[in-house]
Amino acid sequence: MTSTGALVHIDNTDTRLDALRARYPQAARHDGVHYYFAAIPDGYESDPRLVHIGDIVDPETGEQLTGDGLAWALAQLLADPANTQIIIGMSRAQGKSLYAHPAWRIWCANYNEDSPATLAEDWAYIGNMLNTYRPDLADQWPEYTEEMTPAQGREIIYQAIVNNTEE
Amino acid sequence: MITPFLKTPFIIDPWLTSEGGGDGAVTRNFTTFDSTLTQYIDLDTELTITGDFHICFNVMPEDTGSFHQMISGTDTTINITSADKLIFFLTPSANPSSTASLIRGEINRVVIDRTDSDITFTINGAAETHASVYSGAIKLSRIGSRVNLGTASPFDGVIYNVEVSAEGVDLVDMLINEDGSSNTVTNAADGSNNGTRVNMSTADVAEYEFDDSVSPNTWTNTADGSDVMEVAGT
Repeated sequence: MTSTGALVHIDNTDTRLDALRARYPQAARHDGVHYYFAAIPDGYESDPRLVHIGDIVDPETGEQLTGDGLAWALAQLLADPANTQIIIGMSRAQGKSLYAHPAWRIWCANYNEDSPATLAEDWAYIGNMLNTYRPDLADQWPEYTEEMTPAQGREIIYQAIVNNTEE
Repeated sequence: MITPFLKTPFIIDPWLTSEGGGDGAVTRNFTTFDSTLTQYIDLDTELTITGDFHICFNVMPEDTGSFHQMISGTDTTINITSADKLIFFLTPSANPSSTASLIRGEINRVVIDRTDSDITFTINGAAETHASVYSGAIKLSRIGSRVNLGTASPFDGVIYNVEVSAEGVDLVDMLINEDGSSNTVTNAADGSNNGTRVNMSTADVAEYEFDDSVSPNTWTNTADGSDVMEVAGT
C-alpha cells in the first residue's frame, strides 16, 4: 500500500520539509507534537528516515503489522525523543486506522461529547490489549478512575510506552 | 448556472447527461474528505445569506456513525449526527433536526429551503418542514468542517454538487470534480468566490463511472473497481 501522507514531528528541522509546510500551513496536529501532512515530502525516496507503515513488520514472523501490534510499534517510534527527525509515511486507510485506535486517542487527549469512545472505554481497551499482547505489563496499567483527566491519561500512556521500549 | 435537478426530487444526477455527453460512459472525479487530515474547502469570501435561501448538495457520509460537520460558516453548521439525522445550526440556538435519516455509505441528496422562517429539509426526495425556526442572516464559507461553532468534528466521506442561492441569486455552484492537481475549486455560480482545498492532495481524488442501468444507481472507481458508491433512492 503506497504512502500518501506523512506524520512529521514539529521539531523536525529538515529543510526538505519546507515545501510541505508551505503547502499545508494548516496541517492537522492532533497530538500537539506531530503534523499529519496530506502528502509525502520530496527528496526522501532513499532516505531511511522515511518509515512507511507498510514496511513495519513483526520481527519474529516477518509479517506486516496491523491493528494493536502496529499501534504499539508506532507508539514506540513516536515516543522516542531521538526520533524527531523521522517521518512516518502512511496511506489514507492506514492513517484512519491509526487515528481510530484507542491508544492514539488517549495519546491525543482530545475527548468530547462527539468522540467515538470515552476515555474510560479506551482505557479498558488498552488494559485488555496488554492482557493479550503484553501480560507482563498488564499489572502495571493503572485502573481508570472518574477523576482521571485526558491529560493524565496521556502522560500515563506516554510513560508506559517510553519505559517499555526495547533498545 | 444552477443545474436542472435543483427543482426536482432527487433521482439521479441529470447534469451528467450534459456533462458526460452522448452515449459514452459518464465519469467524474470525487474528492473523499478525510477527517484525520482535517480537510475542507474554504470559499474565498464568506457568504452572508439573508431572506429565503436554497442549499443543496450530494453527500456520502462514511460508515463511522459519528457526528460530523458537512458545511459551515461563522456560527452556522450543517451536520450529520451520530443518529444519522441532519441537524442545521442556523444559529447556536436555532437548530432543527430532521426526522428522516441520511444513509451512511450511500450518496444522499440533501436539499434545505428556507421560506420566511420555515426550514424544509428534503432528504432523498422526502420533505419535512420545521416551522418558525429563524429568519435572520446566516453565514456559509466551508465545506467539510466547521468554522467556529461546536467542537471540531471534520467530515469523512464525499460531498459534491454543492449549490447555494438566496432570494433567487446563485451564490455557489460547485461540482467539486477537480482532479486535485490545483487547490482551486471552481464556483460556477458567478465565476468568482472560488473554493480552496485545504490539507488535500491528488491522493484524495479518484475518478468514478456512473451506472444508471442498475438499481440502485452506482458510481464505481475506475482505477480498480474496488469502491462502489450507491445512490440512495434510485
